[in-house]
Amino acid sequence: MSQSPMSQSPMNDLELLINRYIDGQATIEEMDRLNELLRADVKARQVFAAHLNLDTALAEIAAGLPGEKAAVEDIVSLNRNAIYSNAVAFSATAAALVFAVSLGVWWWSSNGQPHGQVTQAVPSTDHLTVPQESFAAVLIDEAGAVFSQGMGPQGARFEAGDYDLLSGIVHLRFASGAELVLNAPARFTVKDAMHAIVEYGKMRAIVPPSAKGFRISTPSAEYIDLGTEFGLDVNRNDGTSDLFVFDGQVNVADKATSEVFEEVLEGASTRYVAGVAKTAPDFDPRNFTTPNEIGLIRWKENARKLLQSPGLIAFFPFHGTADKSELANQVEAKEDVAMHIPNGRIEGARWTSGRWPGKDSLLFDGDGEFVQIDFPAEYNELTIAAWIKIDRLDYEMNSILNSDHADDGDVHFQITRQGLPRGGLQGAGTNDTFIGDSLPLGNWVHVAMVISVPDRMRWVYANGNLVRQGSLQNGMKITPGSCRLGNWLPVVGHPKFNRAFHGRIDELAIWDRALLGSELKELAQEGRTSLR
Amino acid sequence: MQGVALVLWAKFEQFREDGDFRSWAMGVARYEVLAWLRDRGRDRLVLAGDVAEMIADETANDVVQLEQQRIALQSCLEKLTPKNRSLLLESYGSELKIQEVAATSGRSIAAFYQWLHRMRRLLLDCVQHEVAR
Repeated sequence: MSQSPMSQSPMNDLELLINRYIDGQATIEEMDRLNELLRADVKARQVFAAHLNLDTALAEIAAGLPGEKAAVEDIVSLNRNAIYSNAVAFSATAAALVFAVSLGVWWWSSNGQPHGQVTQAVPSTDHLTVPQESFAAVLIDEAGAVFSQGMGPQGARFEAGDYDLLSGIVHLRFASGAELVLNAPARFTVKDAMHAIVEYGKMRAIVPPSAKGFRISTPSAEYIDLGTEFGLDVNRNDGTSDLFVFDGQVNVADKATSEVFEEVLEGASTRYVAGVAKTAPDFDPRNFTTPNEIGLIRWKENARKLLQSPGLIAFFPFHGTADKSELANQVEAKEDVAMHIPNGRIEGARWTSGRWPGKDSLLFDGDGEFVQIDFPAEYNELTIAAWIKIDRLDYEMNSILNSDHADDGDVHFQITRQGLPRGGLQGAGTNDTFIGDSLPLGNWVHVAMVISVPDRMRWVYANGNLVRQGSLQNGMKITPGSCRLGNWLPVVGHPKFNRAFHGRIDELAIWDRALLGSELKELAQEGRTSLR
Repeated sequence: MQGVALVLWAKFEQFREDGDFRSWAMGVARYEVLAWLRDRGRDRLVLAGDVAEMIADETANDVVQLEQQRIALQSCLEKLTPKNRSLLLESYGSELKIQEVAATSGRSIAAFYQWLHRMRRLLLDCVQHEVAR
């Protein structure tokens, strides 16, 4: 088997665009994105060339003969057609420019956000390769962020300029290392890596020693940080600026003369209005969002969105309920209640913290722990996706979700001792044509198994990247039946009887269709702990 | 802005002089023609000229490797189930519209395109594997 890097995802954004181009389906915006991607990256051009090479060959085989004769005959028409297309493409480009999102188009999420008033999408970290010197700050994380048109970042980049955050939360890191978590509504100006002006808005600033001297100017005063963490609330109506120092020291100074009014130390607060000190508000650090909280807020939004996902038949968000032994499935039963996947039953696994503070997960620590989940229906296609954090891989096979025993139609989604995830349909044979990288220990990772009986294929993805691919030799219905999450009820006498998973599981979603790599990539990006 | 086909046709003489008549670049141009024939009447969008030029230049050095991949494709096609293989080639043929091919496969158009994308990835993986060994 050839070992391939995880980056060889089967259907990432680039490949989806290439495919849509080849199929003549690409929209003008998609062509712009494709051109950008190809222009920027030689590897992308190699992928494109490989695709076009394949398509040329397939078209040739399908045509039954090389097409030179037809080609020559039609070259005049082709020229005419191409010129016409170019005219269309040109006016489209002009239209796209009017919408003012010309740079960084390819950072926008794959779900094709309109370019009007733009929800800040999730730039995937492997695209953050623009030169560092070209911008003052970069987007680290966000939840529901919407900027007003023309006053948002370029992809993940905050260059010097004015910004207007209409709703949501953003987490910025300045080139100096200073970090700001801003809550909407907020209007601010990025001056440079060491200076921001805030007209109004609420923010938490975290300033490491490298950014000592980082300044925030408000209508009322100037705040000079001496290596610390603080909250700043600038009133939209009158510019009243409330400072809360959580750690270290912040100097409040006159905007014009830089004369220091006051040195504010940990646990203290101040209020300034137009350069004049007023009665300080009560000290309350809870009002300011922390970087960790953004992830949870984002997750709650995405969980709502996920529930609308076509073909979703079960979604276990892993929020502890009053009944600690119940794992709730949030998907409501359709017409046929008997075919609905019921709530899971927790046996031994313990509730603990999940991907973010305030998010729960289940800890599987011993050998006899599992969650009982029943699949009453049979399926042609199935996608099982979960967030897991592996502590140890103690056995030859370590179960994520396994049907009891090993009967035809059962599913086995597990991890080998080497950390390679596997997904199988019992009775359909194992014929792996691609095995990628192993899963990391001690980090949250999104794992997904996809089975398509009509396509006779199965795939396993880690963080949205394909890590295993294989074919099914036999067509049959997928009948998972009685399953264990994090364990396996073995066949009596089976040599690999113990397959207990040791680690945490935080989310489980199941669809009765085969999700695409691009969809899984999006899920992995949306649920990641942060962009870092 | 120019399409891949125009760029490559412009370079056609160069390839022929090198005696590399059945080169990949030639194939690409041919493909563009075939695709155009298939999609006659549809306004296909084309790559930006500078991008097409970059690809044409870079792949001019990879002609041998790309040709190997085309040869390997034959054995990879044989690994598909007969049903998938004929469906795939039907979708490339000029006889039937893609909607008709999708309908015969029992899929929606969108699902059929998704299937097509997967088959291409499958074949590319296979081809790369074949060429590597």
